[in-house]
Amino acid sequence: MKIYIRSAACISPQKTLHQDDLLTNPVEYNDTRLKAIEPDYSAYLDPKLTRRMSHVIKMGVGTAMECLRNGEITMPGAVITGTAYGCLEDTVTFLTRMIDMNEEMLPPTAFIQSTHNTVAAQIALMLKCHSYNNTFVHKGISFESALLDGIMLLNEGEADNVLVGGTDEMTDASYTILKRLGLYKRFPGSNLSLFKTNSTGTIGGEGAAFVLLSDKASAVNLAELTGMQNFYKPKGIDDIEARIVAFLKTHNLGMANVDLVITGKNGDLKNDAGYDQLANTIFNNCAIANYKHLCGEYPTSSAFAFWMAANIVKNGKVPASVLEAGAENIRPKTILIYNHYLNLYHSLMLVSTC
Amino acid sequence: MKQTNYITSSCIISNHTVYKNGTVLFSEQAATDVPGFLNAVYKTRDINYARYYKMDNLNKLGWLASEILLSGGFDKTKYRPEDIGVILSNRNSSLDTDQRYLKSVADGASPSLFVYTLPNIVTGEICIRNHFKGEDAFFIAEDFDADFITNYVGKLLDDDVLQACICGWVELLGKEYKAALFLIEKVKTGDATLFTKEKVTKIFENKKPLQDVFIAGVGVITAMGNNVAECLSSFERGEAGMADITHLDTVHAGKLPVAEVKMTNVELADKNGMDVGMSRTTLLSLTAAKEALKDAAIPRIETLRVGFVSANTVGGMDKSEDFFIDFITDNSKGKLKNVFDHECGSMTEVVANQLGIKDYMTTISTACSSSANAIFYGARLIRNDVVDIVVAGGADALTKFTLNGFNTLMILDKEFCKPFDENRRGLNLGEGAGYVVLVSEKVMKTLNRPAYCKLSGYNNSNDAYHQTASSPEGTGSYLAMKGALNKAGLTTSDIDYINLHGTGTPNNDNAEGTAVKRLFDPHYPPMSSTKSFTGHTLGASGGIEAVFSVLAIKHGLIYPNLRFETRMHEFSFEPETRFKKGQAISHVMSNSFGFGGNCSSLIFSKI
Repeated sequence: MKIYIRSAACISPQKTLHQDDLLTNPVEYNDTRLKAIEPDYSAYLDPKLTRRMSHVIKMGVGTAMECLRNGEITMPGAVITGTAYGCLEDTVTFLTRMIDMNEEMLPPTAFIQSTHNTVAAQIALMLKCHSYNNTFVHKGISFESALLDGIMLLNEGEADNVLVGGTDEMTDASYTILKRLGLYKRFPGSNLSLFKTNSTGTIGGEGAAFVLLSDKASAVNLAELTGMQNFYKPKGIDDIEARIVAFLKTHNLGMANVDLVITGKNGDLKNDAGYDQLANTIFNNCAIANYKHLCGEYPTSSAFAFWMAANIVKNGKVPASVLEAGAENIRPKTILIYNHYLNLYHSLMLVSTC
Repeated sequence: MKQTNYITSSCIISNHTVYKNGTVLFSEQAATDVPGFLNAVYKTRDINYARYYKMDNLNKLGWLASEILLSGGFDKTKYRPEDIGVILSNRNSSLDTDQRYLKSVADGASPSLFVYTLPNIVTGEICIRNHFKGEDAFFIAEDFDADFITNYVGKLLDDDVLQACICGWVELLGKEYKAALFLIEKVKTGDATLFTKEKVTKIFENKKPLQDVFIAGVGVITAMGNNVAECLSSFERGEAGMADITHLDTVHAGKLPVAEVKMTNVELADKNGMDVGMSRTTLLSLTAAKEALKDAAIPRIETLRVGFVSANTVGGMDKSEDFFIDFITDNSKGKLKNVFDHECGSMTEVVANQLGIKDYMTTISTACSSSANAIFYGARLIRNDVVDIVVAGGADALTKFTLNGFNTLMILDKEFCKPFDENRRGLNLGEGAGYVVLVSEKVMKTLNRPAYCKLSGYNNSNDAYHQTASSPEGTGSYLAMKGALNKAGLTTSDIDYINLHGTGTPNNDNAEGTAVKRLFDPHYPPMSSTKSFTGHTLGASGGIEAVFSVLAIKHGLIYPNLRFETRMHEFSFEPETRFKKGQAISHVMSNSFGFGGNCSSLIFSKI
């Protein structure tokens, strides 16, 4: 059985919501925190509803609605989201009030909307969709977990038009805490030269990306999701290489069949060392693209890469803004996305022309 | 007159594979294109039929399917030629060849293509080959219409227009194709099945039969006991775990009863050889997951693929609360160690590392149905051959965050809760963890003692009514229970006990009761809410109650619903109030419903 990406949509620190122009004029930031560019949500959501929605809920629900619209599907067969942090803004609001007001006279709204499944729940609620609804919250593979769930649902014949998304927001509190934990660069520079900084630390980001998966061939399909796999704590670079080669082999492919590799490089010397090594070994004959300079680092950023890969395959064009090595005029038929999160969780996704 | 008709043979050709009566007859994944594959199938038939080479792809597909359908056993001499018909259908008619024909027009129209620009040529080719002379027709429909085919062909047979009929679907356009043919006769032969819409649909869908998933071990920790044995003993004595708050530093202590696990963090950390600075959720999770794995005692587990699917709702919130007290006064303050494991996924990761599980792990958070979803996601990982074994369930520690959150919603009972009672006032929060060890059939056979039971049914549906409230009709709950029954292939009368979600809030018990009534009325199985013992353990509840459901099957138990006095006026049923042993329990349903309309039901069945 084949699994197709019928449509995709993305809200990110770039102008990604409308895809007629795929990352040709990237937005430049001189900060270590990239904020999502939010659209006028009234095109997607009832203003009465959005008034109470937090940033991540609006981003998630808005992106989901755009994805359905792009796929010309009104009712998905399942809704599955991945989010590492969930609804941080509401969580911090409730937590802060609870402490400030010594647990007395608290309004319930922030608590109600703080549960991690709020985005998937609000999508179901808006669509009156009674189908399968799930939310994965596992750090850097939250989106990949949701994607695997979607693939299994299609394999089992349990649902069609499975809406799968990854959402995470950055709040002032989480940015401050992650900065204190040493994740970000000490001195801001242009995100567009992130990979030339030659220092540790990355830039923080946020966003939402959704795809609609189907097992039905259609002229509107963007691409095929040929395969995906995660692995945890590999033993070293040799192990990573072996796993990538083995993964490709299960799909009857070798590196020679891969036209473009999208890596999860984030500008942190330590984080990127593995990618750079692979660029000299198994990826050495491949065009290479990166994406985290555009959306920032966050646990579900691989959803951005997945959205990007589907569009590159459909458009038959790699935006110059993402290309690291290789010719600009290639028309990739098969794209491998390789991302790792803190060098613990590694994920491979194969996207190809349908 | 309506008669009984039988499917005496079936043939599916799709995905470069030929199936006869549900089993693979031939597969050629290396074939590069559809014609190449069809020719490979033709070669396996070991016949010489010159007409085959003249046919277009659609006809080759339909003709080959009919050859295989009729091979091995069908004796056409039993019938007169005019008594055998062919009724086929597809989506795109002869479009595949129409397009080729159109292309050929420019260079002088091809007559050999032209003759195949009608879909009914497929039925013609089959009749020519077999000398059938009965009614034949070709219908065009968007999708295979099992209802139409069974009615139409059934009528032809019932009215004696035909005595036997080949029917089904033959579709081909470019690279996409599928043939599904059925031979329908009036006489039952060998392994023939009834000619019904459901059977036809099932054969057409041609799904791989999903393998069974078994429960090999259980582990639990709640306010009523620190392990399985202690919980069972508390059930028998009718001792609930609720009491005044002792571990949480909150203004609600002494006012709101909760169901705290009786061990302190220090005791839990000591027992597990862990750092006491860990989130209590991690410590509870590790305690129960370890018990479950030890209980399962899977031989040679190191040679198998093991996964951990765990659920929780607020991650390391107990520690984040400490962090935030300092952080909100000064953003450079607060011990980072306390917020480092804030994420829900951290709980799972730390426990997986302790258990030595690395092949697959993930975390689910769908509010109060979280761990029910974790359990059936785990089962699906096994069914999809991702892993062989999954430790699945969930954990949640009591936190000030959730206590205050539920308090703002005004659904906490200041007394011990009374699920499904007319005078219920709300829930008591609890904490704990519950895990089951799910294994594949292959692993089950290696166990040194019998598995507890199997997970036979599951379903996740969304109420899509309100972020926190359940719909008055209990739509989500109803769909979850009904879907789980369908998945298990069971009916309501098969269920011997329902472990209710039964939080004790006016809204939940009303919605759940309405859904139970819609589905089970007028024959209600025994049911109870074990939250009357454990309190509502949120993300852990589905896991804990799955453990109780498994034990109900193993030991023939029905648990009492404590403090029940008055039947709800809306319903003609009430929960079981006595602890019952030695019951014949084959199928148990366990309900878990949560915020966001997330409703899930699981069904466990005796092996």
